Amino acid sequence: MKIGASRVPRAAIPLAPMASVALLGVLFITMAGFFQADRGLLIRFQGDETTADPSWPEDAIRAEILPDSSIVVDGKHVPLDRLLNVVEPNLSRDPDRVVMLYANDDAPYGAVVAVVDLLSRPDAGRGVRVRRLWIPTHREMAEHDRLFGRDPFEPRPAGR
Amino acid sequence: MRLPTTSGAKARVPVVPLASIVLLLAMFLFLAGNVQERDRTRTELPASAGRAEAATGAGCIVIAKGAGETVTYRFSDGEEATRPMGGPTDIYLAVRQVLSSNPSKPFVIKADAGVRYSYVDDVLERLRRAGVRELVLLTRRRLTGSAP
Repeated sequence: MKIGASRVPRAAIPLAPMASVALLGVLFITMAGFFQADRGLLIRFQGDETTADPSWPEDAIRAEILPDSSIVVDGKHVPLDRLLNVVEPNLSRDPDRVVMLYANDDAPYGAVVAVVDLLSRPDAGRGVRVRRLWIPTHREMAEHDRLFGRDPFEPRPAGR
Repeated sequence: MRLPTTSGAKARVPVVPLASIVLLLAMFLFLAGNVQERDRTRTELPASAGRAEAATGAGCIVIAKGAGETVTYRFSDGEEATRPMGGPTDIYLAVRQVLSSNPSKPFVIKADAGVRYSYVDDVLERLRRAGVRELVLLTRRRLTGSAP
């Protein structure tokens, strides 16, 4: 009589479902990271008043945002979509020239962000980009006014 | 002639794996909500096309529209949920305390797009004076070419 060998199931760890669950986990984490990560405009401070460079860029391009969100560059009204066209010729002559941005107290914060976004984006212009964007706080402006006796956003005297 | 009845497999919805996946999802959402979201204040963030990622564990300052022309302030050191603040001076003191243990701590500002810039400027000035080196103004994504 021949007795057939009993078929004992082989012990195995079910890898396929584990891989599926791991893949799902990776997908969830990736998607959550994409949707939930805090993102925005990066601002770097020069330092506090004890370490900051006290020099003031006298030849800076001056952009001001008014309460109605309109923009004035070196004394002339400029629409947002033409801002780079106005700034770029100055920067093509001197790429390191500072663009100084001042927002009026009553200007909406969203308008300020729109201008900062436009000026700080490397791909916004047609080749020339703003390398040095400076947004002095109102306190810094007042300190400058006190030290030098004039508002840096006032039109400069002729010949300077 | 009598045909044998076929003993086919019963059609069933596999409930156990489904339950496992639902449980995993629930756990994940719960953890993600607790770990990543430090603030649940409803704000209308301004839009920007360029968006840098804020560092993990950054401190958070919230400037939200209040009743009328007022705003409300909230603060988080990046470890706990945001708590209400009386004004920029309180934020300055809280930031100083955080920076005393971690001088390079990054911060984010989450502010309503419609608030007057003077409120944001005031906070920026306090952060500058407190010694903050880097911060991110939180925005929502704007497609290039669309209106701000």
